[in-house]
Amino acid sequence: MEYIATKKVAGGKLLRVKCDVEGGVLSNVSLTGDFFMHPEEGVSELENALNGMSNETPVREFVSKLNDLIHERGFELIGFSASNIAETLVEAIRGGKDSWGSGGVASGEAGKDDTSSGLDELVRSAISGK
Amino acid sequence: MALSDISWRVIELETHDAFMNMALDEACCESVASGVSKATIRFYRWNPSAVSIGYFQSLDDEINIEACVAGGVDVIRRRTGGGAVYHDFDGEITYSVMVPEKDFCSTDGVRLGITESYHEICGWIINGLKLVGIDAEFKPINDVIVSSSGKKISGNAQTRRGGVILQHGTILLTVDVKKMFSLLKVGKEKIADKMIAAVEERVTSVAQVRPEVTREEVYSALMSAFTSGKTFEVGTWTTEESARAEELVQERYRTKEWNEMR
Repeated sequence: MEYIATKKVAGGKLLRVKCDVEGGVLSNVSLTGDFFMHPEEGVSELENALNGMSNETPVREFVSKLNDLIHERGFELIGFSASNIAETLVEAIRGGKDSWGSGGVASGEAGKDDTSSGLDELVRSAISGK
Repeated sequence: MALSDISWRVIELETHDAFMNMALDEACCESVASGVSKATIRFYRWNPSAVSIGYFQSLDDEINIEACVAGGVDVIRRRTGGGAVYHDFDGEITYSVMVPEKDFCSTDGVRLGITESYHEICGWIINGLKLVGIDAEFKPINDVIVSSSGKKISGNAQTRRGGVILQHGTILLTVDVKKMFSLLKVGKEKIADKMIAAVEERVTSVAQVRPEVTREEVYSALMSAFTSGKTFEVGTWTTEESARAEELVQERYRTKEWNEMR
């Protein structure tokens, strides 16, 4: 079963987190969206860091795991942050299967910001009726 | 070295397909990185029209492949992040800037960070638009908006690799939101009108602001703004760059492994 949530980061970009959960363990974590990250290949390392973690992990532990890696590897995230990833991931796990991730879009920050940076977010905000 | 000390090569407006366009950017970055080629500014169009998606986007989530195939529209993943863009052959002018990070410095020799370099290069676009009578401004992270309406007229994306900054972006000459939406996965019919309206509210084009301005005038304004105050010569691709680009088309940009990577 695939878990999905989508978040439009206030003042930032659109982030979609997908993952599978088997026996309480995260696998196939995928981070997609119209954000920027340097170097780009680093996104696989972020995804891999989350694979194998428990689905009961508190948000702050996801955040610190991601931030440690970001710091250690000198990754630069633009338009989203470790906290955004962690919050969206937790939303996905708690929210269950939802192909459009509307559970995620309905989160507090969605649609509040008027930064017109990607078509992606416009589409998503129109869908969520914001 | 400061920005003003850089000696540039300028490649005048040319037309390629999506795969060659993105391959030329990469081949050029490599030759700039190895010191063989000068920092380069290029302008180009896309034929056939194409949809490009950002490095981190899911092809399957974003693109209506059947509609693209049916419409003869190429689909390609960029090396840069950012969102999905429809590159209409007639609807835009695209540029790329490839410059060593160590040279892209402020007058006091400090390297420009990512935001600063977006700001710098988007400033050239803004100066170009001003020459055709459009007042525009930089909107972080990576947009240029028309000052009077706040609507986006240019989107830009950047990557850094091997010590070279690549920034490419598009200046919209016309916008056909309906066409754009037909190529993207936008879900159910009933919400399509609402979405078209939402995008039309936030995106504009030269044609909407200054309908009397021609493509040639926009191009010449951009050329003049991008080269203003710079040491430059109009050049061509080296034989090695062209050969390397052909290779990258086959090895990367036309492959499923690359385009369907996420």
